[in-house]
Amino acid sequence: MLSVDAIGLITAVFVAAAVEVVEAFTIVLAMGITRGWRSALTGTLAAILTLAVVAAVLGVALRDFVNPALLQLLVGTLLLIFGLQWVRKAVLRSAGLKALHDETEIFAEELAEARAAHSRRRFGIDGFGFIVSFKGVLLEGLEVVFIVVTFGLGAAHRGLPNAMLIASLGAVAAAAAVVAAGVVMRRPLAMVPENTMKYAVGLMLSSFGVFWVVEGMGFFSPLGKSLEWPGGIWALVCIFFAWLVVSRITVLALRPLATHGAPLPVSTTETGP
Amino acid sequence: MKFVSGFLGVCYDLVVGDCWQIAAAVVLLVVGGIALLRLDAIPLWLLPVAIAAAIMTVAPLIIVIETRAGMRRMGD
Repeated sequence: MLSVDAIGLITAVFVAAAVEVVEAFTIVLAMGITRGWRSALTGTLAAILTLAVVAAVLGVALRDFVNPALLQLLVGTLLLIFGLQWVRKAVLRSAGLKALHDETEIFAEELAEARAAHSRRRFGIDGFGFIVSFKGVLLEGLEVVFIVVTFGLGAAHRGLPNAMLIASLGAVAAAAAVVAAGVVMRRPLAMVPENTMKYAVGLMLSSFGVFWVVEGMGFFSPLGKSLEWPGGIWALVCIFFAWLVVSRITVLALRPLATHGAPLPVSTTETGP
Repeated sequence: MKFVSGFLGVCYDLVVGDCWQIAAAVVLLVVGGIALLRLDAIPLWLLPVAIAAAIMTVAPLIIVIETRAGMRRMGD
C-alpha cells in the first residue's frame, strides 16, 4: 500500500513528465511519418539510453556524496529557478503576451521542415530523422530527469523509502500513457490541456523549490540540520496556493500590456516550458 | 571543448531559461536568508515565512518589470 507521500510524489512526477513526453512525442511522430520509423525510433532509443545514464550518475552522486541539508538547499534553489521559468511563461500565456503552446501547429511545422530537409542515409538510417528525434527526446527528457532526481531526492530526505524508484516509476508511467494514447490516436496529442498543465507544474515546482530552499538553509545553522516549516509538510499546500494567488495577480498586472502588442509566435525550437 | 560548452549551454537553457534576472534574484535572496540565519537577526520560526514572502514578492515584480522592458525594446 502506497503512503500519502508516495502518492503525492508519483502524481507530481507523472503530471510534470507527461507534459514533456507529449512534446517529445510530437517530434518523434513527425520524424517517423516523414523520415521513417527506423530512424525516429533509433534516435529515441539513443536519447533514452543517454538520459538513463545521466539520471543514474546524477542521482547516485548527489545522494551519496552531498550532505542532506546542503542537497536540499542546492536542489531547492535549482527547482525554484526552474519552476519560476515555467510560471513566468504560464503567466505570459495567461496574460495574452505569449502564444499558447499548440501541438497541432508545432507538428505541422515539424512535418514541413522534415519534408524539405535533404536525405543522407548511413547504415539504413536517415541522419535528419535520427538527429531531430534524438535531440527532441534528449532535451525534453533532460527536464524529466531533472524533475525525477530533484523530487526523488527531496522525498528520500523526508524519509520515504525507495523515493527515487517511485519518482522514476511516475515518469515511466507518464511516458507509457502518452505513447499508448498517441499510438491509438496516430496524431499529436493536441487535446491534452498542456497550457493548464504547464501552469500547474510551474506552481508545483516553485512550491517544492521554496519549501526545500528554506529547509536546506538549516545547513548553515549552528546545528547544521534542515530547518522546520511551521505546520510541517502542510506548509507546502499553503505555499502552492500562495503562488497561485501571486501568479494570478501578476497576470492581472500584465494583461493591459497585451492590448498594446501582438503575442509572440509559437516556437518549435524552445527547450523550456 | 565544443561538447562541454554545448552541454553547459543546454543546462543553462534548461534551468535559467531566457530570464536570468529571476535566477539572480533567487540566488541573492537565498544568500540573504543564509546571512539572516547566521547573524541570528530574525526568529527561527519566522525565517521560513519571511524568505517565502520575499521570493513571492520579488519574482513576480521581476516578471512584470522584465516584460514591460521587453515590450519597450520591441517598440523601439
